[in-house]
Amino acid sequence: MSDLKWSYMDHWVTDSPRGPVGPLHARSYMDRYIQQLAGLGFAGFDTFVYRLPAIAEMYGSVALFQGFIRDCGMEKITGIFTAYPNATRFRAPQVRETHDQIVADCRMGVEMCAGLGVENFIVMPTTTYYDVEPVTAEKLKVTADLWNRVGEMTLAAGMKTTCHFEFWGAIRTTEELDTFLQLTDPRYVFYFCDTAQHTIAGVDPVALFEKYHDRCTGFHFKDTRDVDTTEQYRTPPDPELMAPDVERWFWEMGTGQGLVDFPALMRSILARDWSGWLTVELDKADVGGGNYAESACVAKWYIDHVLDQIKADT
Amino acid sequence: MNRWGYAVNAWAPVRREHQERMLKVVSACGFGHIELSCGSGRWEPLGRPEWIARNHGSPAGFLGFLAECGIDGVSSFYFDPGLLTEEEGFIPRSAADPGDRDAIVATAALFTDFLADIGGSVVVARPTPSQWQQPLARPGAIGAVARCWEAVGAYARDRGVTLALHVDFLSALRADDNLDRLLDATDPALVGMALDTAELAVAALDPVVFYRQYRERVVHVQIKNTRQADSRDEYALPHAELNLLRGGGSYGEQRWFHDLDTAGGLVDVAGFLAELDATGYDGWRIVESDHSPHPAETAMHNSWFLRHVVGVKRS
Repeated sequence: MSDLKWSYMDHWVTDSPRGPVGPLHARSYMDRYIQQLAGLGFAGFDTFVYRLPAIAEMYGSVALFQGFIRDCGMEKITGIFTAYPNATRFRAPQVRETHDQIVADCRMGVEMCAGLGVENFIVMPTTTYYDVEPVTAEKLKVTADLWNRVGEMTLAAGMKTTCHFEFWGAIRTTEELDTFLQLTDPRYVFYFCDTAQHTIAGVDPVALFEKYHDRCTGFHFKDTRDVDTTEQYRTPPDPELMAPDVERWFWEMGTGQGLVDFPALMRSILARDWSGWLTVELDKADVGGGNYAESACVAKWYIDHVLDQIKADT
Repeated sequence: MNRWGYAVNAWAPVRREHQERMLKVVSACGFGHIELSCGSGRWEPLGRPEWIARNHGSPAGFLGFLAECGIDGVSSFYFDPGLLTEEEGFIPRSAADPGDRDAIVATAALFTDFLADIGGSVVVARPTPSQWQQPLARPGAIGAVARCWEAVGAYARDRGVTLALHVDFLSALRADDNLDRLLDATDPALVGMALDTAELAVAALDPVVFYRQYRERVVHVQIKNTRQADSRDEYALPHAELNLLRGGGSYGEQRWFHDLDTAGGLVDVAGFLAELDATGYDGWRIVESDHSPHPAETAMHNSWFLRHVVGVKRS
């Protein structure tokens, strides 16, 4: 029987007397943010590798931060996410000469969370599509080699390296996903299912989970109202932030206008007896005047009243 | 079992989908009932029973809408007869004026009937205009206030609804011994009191002490916090709604009300709740996001405080 728990991916903006700020603006903001998530009933917290130093500065260490979130009623940090959205001469997954630096970055994140029980080391495996194209078998092989290496390192520390594919990344179609996952070592590299990113790319996340459920280590539950049918994904400078045709790609679950079939995904998860953390992600919820707190509540309402009911009925 | 609800007075939803999001916020934060506040016209579609009916068809239709959003019902409705509303001809009314009594009773009956139809239980009413307007200066004014609210209370009792007078920090009942005189002049079986923790604290009154003093009359509780008392009695200065409540007075307060565990809060919310528990209080406990620029954030934070600090179970 599936053992499922909900976590929250660290996207948040709130207003302050200085205008909109993130929780790392000051300790009081971070404290309040965590308490709000706990108040809503989230048990896990996912954050970004690049935020760990600021968190450590604020709380004394990442371990002390984890102690704080436990005091607030949450369980633990469940995943840490890292990404290289743009290729530079220092870091680009498809460029073998930069791999040592990327591995060093990843090791820093892993070491900052040592002993905390963090389960997922979530990576965006490539930079933007336009940085990589043409996407060749050789480039995918080089990229796979990097994440095999990172995966072996993180697994030794108890974390699974798990790949989160963007609609605007270089691995986006079913064929590219299949090729890349075949090139990676299933002992070291896992699959992370972002429902909206796949849907925008024209890939059914439920079918993909069905295919790779054995390698799946987590989900970002978020919705979208658009499929990219006009090659927005390859449009510089940033297809996610500045696509010419779509201002806001991502929406919370439960708006009634989304394309992702969350009930079908939940039934599939339960049918596969999959256990682990299900994560709510509200990426860029403030685009167009949105509100992270309200979106978080609406998503959690959908969990409580729709997805949990499916689980209860199963 | 304690009864918890959330006042939605900090939100201003107009379209149905905005109402839905507001209600889902409240539901997701663990509250099963809401308290509505009176309003006027199409911009406040949940502010009057007539507008609720126009938006949702009927009380039953509204209940169905609430259920779709995970809300079990309406606990209470706040009513201020002094509010300028198009439905009342933009005439502010005062219970201290005997000539306004029938109109106040008739309007209160609208809210009472709505609550009775929908399974709600408390009409929360603003008993008098603000002190700066000197509504109680005329001889016999307390008696007029008492007769008005007894009439409202009698109507409510017949419909299975309770009347609770809400003393805010601008109230004329804050001055002198007006509150005691009003309570002495009213039948406790008809007229109860709503205790609002932050309103009392701004009025430089300790909610626990107040509750102990008036426990027999307190039938409804609203819970929020504040950081600043009106220690210089600026509530008695002209146009206090504009200059003090909204303008912050000489204190410079941008907002008077805050989250339950706000830093520097004057209300010991946990202590107050413990007092309610110790005395067997069984009325509604209504939490508010009032004055919050982010009602959803405040609701989430208040939920955390109640669940994880006080130990309240989710509804």
